[in-house]
Amino acid sequence: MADRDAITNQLNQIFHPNSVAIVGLPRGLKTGKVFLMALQDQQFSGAIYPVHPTAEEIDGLKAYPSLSAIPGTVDLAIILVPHQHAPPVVYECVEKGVKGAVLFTAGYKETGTEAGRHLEAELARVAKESGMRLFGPNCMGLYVPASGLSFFPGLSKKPGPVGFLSHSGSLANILGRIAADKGIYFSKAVSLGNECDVTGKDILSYLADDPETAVIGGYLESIGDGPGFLSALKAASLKKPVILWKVGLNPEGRKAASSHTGAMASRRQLWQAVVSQSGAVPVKGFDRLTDALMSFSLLPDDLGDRIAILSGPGGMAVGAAEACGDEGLKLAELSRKTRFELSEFVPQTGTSLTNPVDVGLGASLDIDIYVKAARALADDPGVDAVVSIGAGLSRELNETYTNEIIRIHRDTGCPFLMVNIPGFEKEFAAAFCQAGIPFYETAEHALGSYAQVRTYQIWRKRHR
Amino acid sequence: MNILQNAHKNGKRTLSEYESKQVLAAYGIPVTREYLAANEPEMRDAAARIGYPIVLKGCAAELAHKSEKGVVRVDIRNDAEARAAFAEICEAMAASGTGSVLVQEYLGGRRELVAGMIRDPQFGPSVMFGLGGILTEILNDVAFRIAPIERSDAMEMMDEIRGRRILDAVRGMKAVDRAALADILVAIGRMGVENPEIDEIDINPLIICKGKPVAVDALIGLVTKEGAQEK
Repeated sequence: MADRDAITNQLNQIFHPNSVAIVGLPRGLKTGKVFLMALQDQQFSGAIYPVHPTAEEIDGLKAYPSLSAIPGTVDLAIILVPHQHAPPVVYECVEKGVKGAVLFTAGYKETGTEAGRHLEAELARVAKESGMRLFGPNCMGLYVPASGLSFFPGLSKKPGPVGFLSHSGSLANILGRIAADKGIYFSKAVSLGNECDVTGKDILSYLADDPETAVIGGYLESIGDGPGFLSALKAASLKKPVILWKVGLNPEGRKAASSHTGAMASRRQLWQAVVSQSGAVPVKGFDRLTDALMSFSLLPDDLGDRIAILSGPGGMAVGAAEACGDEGLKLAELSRKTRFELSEFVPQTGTSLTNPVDVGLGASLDIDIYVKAARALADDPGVDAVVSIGAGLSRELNETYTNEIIRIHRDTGCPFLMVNIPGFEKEFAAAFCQAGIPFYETAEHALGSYAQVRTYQIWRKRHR
Repeated sequence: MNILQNAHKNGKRTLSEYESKQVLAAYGIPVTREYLAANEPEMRDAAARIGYPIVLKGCAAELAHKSEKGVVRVDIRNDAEARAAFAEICEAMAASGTGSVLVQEYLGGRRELVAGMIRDPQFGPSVMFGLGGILTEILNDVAFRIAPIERSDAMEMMDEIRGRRILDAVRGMKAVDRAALADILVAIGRMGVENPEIDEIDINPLIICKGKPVAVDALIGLVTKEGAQEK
């Protein structure tokens, strides 16, 4: 493959196309229609050219019988034709001067058949010889909200700092749909598919240098060129956090090994080696992936380890304090001034004025107690972050709680980690995230994620 | 590395302990002092050069997991014990083919570590470090790194195992020379990168003797001839 700068230039053009052709776009409401719906939903401002053998027009757009019949240039082609018909379309793309093509259909290497492998090898050959970049096959392609590109309708139109690569197109969709509610916005998301040409490593390296990307996330099922991927991962992690959910790590014998070393070398062990050596941030499961993307997107630099916990429910306060210890964080020592302030409005019984600060059940009726306590903690110079586990007994109280904490966060700059109490309105949870305050399901998730961000920040400082 | 290339050319899948350690030594890894003896006079001669106590081990390329096959005698203190042990080992080996007897210095270190390498199909040569001896499989307390590795990687591997305190000064034993240990791990990574014939390396135990790591038993596995040609 061509050198890095050349790939970066090509990808830049493909991620910001002036025109998109959708080859094999169905007339009716069939699967392939989502690609057109996605572009229209994103209000893609360039030209969209449906290619269909017989249709004159599809959904109000003039359709063309072939790529070559399109009058203008085509930057990006989305190819939806069945796999056996793909090669001629790909040859036509090359003829037309298309810069990049997304191959949606399956039926290649992943089938395990000789025919599938052969077909994929042919696509790879064409890409290599022509210099046109191919995504997939068996992938959803590209989501670049800044360009109005998307692989599914309903994804956020607002761009943001997260670059994402995925071996699952549908996972990227689902993530895209819930992301905005968690304050996660994307620069570019790429569904990789079988990687016959453009690989995860290529995208990782691109995102590492991409000025529009500050946080990289990925869902990976397999890694092709191991050493190449590792060096790209090392280089990327030094620049920005790379959060990876790697599946396929179940313990299994490498082979019937004669050596102790061989018997110990599980996929998990080797993945752990890759993580340790590269500085990547490993996560397991969709929830932890989204927590990490949210935390790395929203939390500031130079996080400290002195945590104040503010809670109404006593048990959750104690649990959060324990999670602090588990994650290598400290309970902040509250100043005399803070303790005095708290004593002025926190009821005397069933509460605690030392960290964790337990404001008691009464605070769910008198939400002002939460709010004042939050401000006192955020103002304390010995506090690096506040974990807030609270909720009122009505929607109105929760709205006040939300607005006031957002205000305190803005005034003080002190990071807040909000923890859900079941029943808390989802719209307010989203309001926190959109105001730059991460909202978590549990205190354990909150502190685990915070510690992960802090650990990465320390690692990067040490390795720079 | 003539030993490696010859063995590989002849289609062997493993080197004997003696051959394995010669390869390790060529990479600067400390190994036990040892000689091969084909008969009793050679054995006594070797014992005299090393000095008691010694270890006698049956030594043949296909002889892994020697202690399970009854061809290892440790802490032999004098000629009489050595002669008896030699005879027993020769008898045990006669049942399973031919081979020589390895006469080896006996190191009394109580801390046993493991170091090794495997060639992973995805990531290539990968270095392992951890608790050795019988603890290797029981506790599975090991750390891996993808080769080539640097000294800083090796130091991190030592800190990554749960039993890392075994490297400190404990129970009157000296702290382990971490720099020497790091050199070994870096060398193992280099061996994997520089010799495509090597499929795996196993140094177990790597015994800590007066704070210094020494390879007491070692096994080098080779890739099949076809496998190497693909590379």
